[in-house]
Amino acid sequence: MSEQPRQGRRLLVVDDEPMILSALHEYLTGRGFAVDCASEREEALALVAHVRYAAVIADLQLSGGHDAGGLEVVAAVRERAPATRVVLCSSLASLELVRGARAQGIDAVLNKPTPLADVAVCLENLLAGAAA
Amino acid sequence: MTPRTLLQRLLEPGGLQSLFQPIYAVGSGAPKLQALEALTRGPEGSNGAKADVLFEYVRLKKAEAAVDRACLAAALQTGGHLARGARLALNLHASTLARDRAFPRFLGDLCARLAVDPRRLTCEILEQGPALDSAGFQVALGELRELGVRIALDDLGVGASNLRMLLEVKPDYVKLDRFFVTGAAADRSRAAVLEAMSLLARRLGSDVVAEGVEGPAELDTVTGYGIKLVQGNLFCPAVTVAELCRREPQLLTRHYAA
Repeated sequence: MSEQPRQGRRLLVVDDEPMILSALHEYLTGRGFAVDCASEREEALALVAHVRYAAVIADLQLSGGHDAGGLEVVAAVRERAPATRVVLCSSLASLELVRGARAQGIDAVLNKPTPLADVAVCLENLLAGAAA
Repeated sequence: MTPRTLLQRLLEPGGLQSLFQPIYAVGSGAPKLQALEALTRGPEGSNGAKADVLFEYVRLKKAEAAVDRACLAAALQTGGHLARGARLALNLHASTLARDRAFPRFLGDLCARLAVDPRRLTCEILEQGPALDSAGFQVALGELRELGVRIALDDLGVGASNLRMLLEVKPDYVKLDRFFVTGAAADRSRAAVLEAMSLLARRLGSDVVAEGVEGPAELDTVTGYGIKLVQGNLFCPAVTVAELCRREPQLLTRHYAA
């Protein structure tokens, strides 16, 4: 049975792979998060404009890997909600990307594929840091 | 198979649901139903189920015209056969009028197909983007008026719905956004803006509608400024046609009884 989401644990997961979205939604909901999902850049930007999230997990590449739309989502989160924790996921996570992401204010970069449990630990650590 | 995007889901048959919120005339005696604003929602459980997220998404996809057409069709199919006592108010982006040259004909054809008299309709023009500088916009407004459609300027004072739009649209109705109305009873600055905008709109020949009237204090405030048309949860939230007919049984026609 899933835990009821606790206050301050609303997440947005952005990925254009339906199976990844579905898996993260199910797993993180089971860990007590309230999870919204978006598969497109525009859907994510619309949500970020109207909903406050504790954290956003965005894939770097949206639109089937043809762009870096995840960075645009991250930039929108940083502009609208500086307190929101941001995690960028990519199968192309190079040292250069990690440095660039840090410069944009991203809190963590995860290599894809990342075990679901590791995603949850990353989030818990970030949110515990935010609450401290 | 590529999964369907939210936009594709919105544009599928049944992808949009129309709710209706009444607009009442207030003054001496009981509030009198004047109009029903159609409010669109996307599929239940999707990110489009919330109106603000839905239309932000539509604007980011630059799909206002296609979605406006679908919203109007859904609204008229759902509420077009309610009894004639109340006007039907339909939301429309200014950019749709500016860019979709065939829109007025589409609306005329839709009304003919559904046997809805276009003279019952009010198009509420809203714009969130940059100010328009388009001859096409004025031509389309004129064509809508030729159909007998009345024009409302929505959300005056918010986004790009500004004083220039007030002069260019010359609306039959001006709708004052809930931002200025809700809480105005306890906020003198907000109340001052509300009073000035309602005076300006009336001076330009428009009837004024106050949106977001949520309590008796707000009703007293807006009526104190001479506003006679009101909309808000104090009277009725946005509801389905079935709930609307339960609350306002005079709207029920044989079309819905079947």
